[in-house]
Amino acid sequence: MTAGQPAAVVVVRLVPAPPDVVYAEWTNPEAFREWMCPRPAVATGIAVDPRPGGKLRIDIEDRGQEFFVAGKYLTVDPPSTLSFTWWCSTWPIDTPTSVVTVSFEARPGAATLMTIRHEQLPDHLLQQHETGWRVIAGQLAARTHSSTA
Amino acid sequence: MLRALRGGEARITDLARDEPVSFAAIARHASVLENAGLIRRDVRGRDHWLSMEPAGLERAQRWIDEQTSFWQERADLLVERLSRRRRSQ
Repeated sequence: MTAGQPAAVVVVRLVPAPPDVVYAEWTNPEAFREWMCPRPAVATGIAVDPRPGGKLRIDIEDRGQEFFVAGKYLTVDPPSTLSFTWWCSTWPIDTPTSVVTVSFEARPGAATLMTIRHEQLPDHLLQQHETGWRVIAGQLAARTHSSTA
Repeated sequence: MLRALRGGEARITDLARDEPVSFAAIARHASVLENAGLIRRDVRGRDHWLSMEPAGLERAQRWIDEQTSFWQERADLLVERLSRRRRSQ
């Protein structure tokens, strides 16, 4: 880790399915239940609302211990990018806010290069990110409005 | 900045002299690192002395290690699930 760079985790996999199928695995509660919560952990509740600002929450029971991960969707751009904030209730309370960004790139043979990037953001960067989102959401709303007027 | 502090403690003024950025930028960056628990600050007289907080770096590394194995496991399960689905088609 060098100065100025927040902690970041990158996991890359070649997945044997096209991007739209892999993307759907991240927004489908039933799929989530299977691969996001490996046994013996059990997902006792899953709520996903994949649109900007929509909430994501997974309640988990693992060998008698109950905890949850929760976040809010930031980027919802099927089938290429999905990003959301991510907080686990078992983390120390002073852990900086983290953001998960998953990108899906088509590869030959109906495959997908899936990149999961999980990083901790200093507060001022997160605020910039959210401001950016509000601007984009505002533009989208304005466009929808003018096309229906 | 963390690299500069590896040799021991330093004042913001010293760091601003060695790096091609302003005093204000260094001070801002120091606050971010301080909030993240990566450096500590001692105020002696008018000078703010900065030094590394090794426990903070260890905590950051532990977080990276934990999240890496978390996502590796999930990514592998996702690949397995879609491989099974492709074989059954």
